[in-house]
Amino acid sequence: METDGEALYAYGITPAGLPLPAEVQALTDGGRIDRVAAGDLALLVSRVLPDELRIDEDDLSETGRLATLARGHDAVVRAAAGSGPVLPLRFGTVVPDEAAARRLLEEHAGSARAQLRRIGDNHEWGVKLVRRLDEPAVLGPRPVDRTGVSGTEYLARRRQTLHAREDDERSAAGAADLLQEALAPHVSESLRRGGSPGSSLLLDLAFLVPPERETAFLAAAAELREKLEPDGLEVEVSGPWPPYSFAALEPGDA
Amino acid sequence: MREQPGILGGDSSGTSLVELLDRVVHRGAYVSGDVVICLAGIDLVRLDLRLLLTAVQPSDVEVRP
Repeated sequence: METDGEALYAYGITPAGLPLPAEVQALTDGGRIDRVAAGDLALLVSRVLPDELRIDEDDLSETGRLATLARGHDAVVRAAAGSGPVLPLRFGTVVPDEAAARRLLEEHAGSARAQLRRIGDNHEWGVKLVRRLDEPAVLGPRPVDRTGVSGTEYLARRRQTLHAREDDERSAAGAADLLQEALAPHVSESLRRGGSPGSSLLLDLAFLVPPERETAFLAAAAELREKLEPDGLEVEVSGPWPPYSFAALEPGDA
Repeated sequence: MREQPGILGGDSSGTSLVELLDRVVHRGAYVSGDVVICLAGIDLVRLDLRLLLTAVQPSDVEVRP
């Protein structure tokens, strides 16, 4: 049945009854998307040779092997999510054969079922709060050149700089609160992916949004973008995504 | 970026590679144990570092068209 070295690349877990994603290619050439079922769950897989998954980590370009494989992985998960809930597995998950695929499902059945229920038909949306880099953080004269500047004046400018920086941090913190408050009514779950007050990426959030709330969610995000723009802050929205940021699996078949 | 409500069809060509890798490599359910033979032979720790470096470079902050 299996040829030498062949293994199964695993994309994600779906309910067993879901139709296979049509018109989507496997992430490696010539592969076909298949399904290995165990009980009420199925694992979406395609046959791979481990060598086909070798990548050059130095090539992070759009045409590189990693980009091709990652986009291939994403295309299959997206196609599957078009017909029902999908729990995406981390990129690069490979199991030796169908028996192992079934074991993976059985060992994580309880958690997978709970996650699929939680995901339902929600999509993930990303929202980033970014401090614009072209925006000078501090307005007014900068105390760079001290020649010809009196000590008192220098200190006054220095204070002004520090105050402006404090104002910036205050407005960024306020914006972060504003963002979460404004979007919360339209989402079923949210989590913080990253961001920090000291960097240009102030806040990186992911939301699970029910389909009937997407329009309202995007309208709220657009309103925030306009409101925060004068403060030199950008609101960047990305999506819809499969629920990558919300996917997790615990062992146990409960 | 599509930024439009609707179904999740098509491909991810409208999204930046860094955003995509940040999701498929760092997120997604992680399965450990003897059922998984490898994570594609990719040095994920090294890749993590490289992505982190790429992500903090201003040129890679996503630019809307």
